Amino acid sequence: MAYTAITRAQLRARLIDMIEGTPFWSTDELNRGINEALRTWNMLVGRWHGRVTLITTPNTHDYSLSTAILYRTRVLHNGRPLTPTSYTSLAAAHPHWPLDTTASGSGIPTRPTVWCPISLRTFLIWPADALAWNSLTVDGVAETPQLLAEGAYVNLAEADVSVLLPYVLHLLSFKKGGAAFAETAPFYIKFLQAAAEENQLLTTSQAYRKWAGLVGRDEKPLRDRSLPSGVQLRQDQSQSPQESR
Amino acid sequence: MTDQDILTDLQNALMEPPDNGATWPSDLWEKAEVLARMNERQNRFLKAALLHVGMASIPIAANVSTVALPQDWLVTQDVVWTGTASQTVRSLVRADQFQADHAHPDWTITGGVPLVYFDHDQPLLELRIAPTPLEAGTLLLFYIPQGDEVDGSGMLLSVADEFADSAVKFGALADLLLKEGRGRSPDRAGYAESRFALGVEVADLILRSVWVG
Repeated sequence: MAYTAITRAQLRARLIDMIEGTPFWSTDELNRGINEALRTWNMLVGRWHGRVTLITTPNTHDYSLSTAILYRTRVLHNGRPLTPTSYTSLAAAHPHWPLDTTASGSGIPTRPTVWCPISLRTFLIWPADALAWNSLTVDGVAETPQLLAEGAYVNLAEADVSVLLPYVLHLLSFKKGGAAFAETAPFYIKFLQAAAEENQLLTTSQAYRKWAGLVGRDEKPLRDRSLPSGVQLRQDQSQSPQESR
Repeated sequence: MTDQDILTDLQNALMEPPDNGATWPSDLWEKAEVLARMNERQNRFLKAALLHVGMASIPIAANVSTVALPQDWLVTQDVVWTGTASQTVRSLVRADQFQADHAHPDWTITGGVPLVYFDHDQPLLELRIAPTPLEAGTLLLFYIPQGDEVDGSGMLLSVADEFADSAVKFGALADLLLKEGRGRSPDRAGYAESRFALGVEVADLILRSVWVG
């Protein structure tokens, strides 16, 4: 699958090819729709990756990132990869973790060996580095590139473009509502299915599989969540709001 | 993304002339109402997902069992107690006073190393630990903080851009399109609600599994 650079102007031109000569939407709306589709695509599949380097501060366990998204991430300490774990596992395996540093001794490693994310932009390392000025390199899914100028571009495969642009049309049709919007529902479902093919993690969610029309098509889902039944766009159907969890 | 970006998207979706959310000439919705829905949805999303987890180190004196929670607290995620003198570290378990009364009837009288914390049956923005610690220590609090309240002035949202469309835009649309009146559109509101749920689900897939995995 070849990736090519495609500009906002090119994406919009291809989008306009899909709609009538005098579009219902302004150029700004089309541009916004393209950028929103890119953001949603990145949220679902983690397309764009980036690297951030931090410097350790003495005896500090928690580090925050200013830009990159902590998703499908690896963390390196002075070039050596740390083992990812969950917070629960860290707390269970090393109950004294808030006090453990590389200078603690008593079997505590002399360099950080474990990291665990605690939110999208914050993670812990164990043990804390007792020294300053060591590097922590974080590789992960980066923020979505936004096409704010005509010549601004992203690298996309043709397969991506072929699901992204119909999805943009679906997003834009929300404004029209009614049958015009309902008719674009297959574009949304195809978009979700394409994302699930790229990111298998999504298919472990029962709710996602319902939204993407995948329930009953493949094997039994691994994860069952009591969330709304998904997209129901037919005029004679309505969906009750999701209750706050 | 800024609040004005979302306000413009909302105006486009609701057929209002886009002006960064400054005016809503149809009179179907008002700016204050739209901002309130955005803030409410942003906080609901933050509470449901683990996009942001705040950390606070709260000192606690000996023989004191109650501490004030941060002003931006929404939900407690975890609490770790560290005794200053003994260097005892203990991850506290969430419980309530009913459970404590049955498991350890003397918990209000007899001190010791804390085992549990209560937050939901305490006065708002208060956290209590039990048994009452006999030594001074520190509580390391992991919590979900409230998002910054947007006011339409171009403020950055508290959720990552990738989740802002699901959380704030579609969340607000779900509420605005259910308002009684000419703008009511239950079908589109239902769709918007499912998009909000999609964002929560994806954030949950990414982050909750790494917390408890």
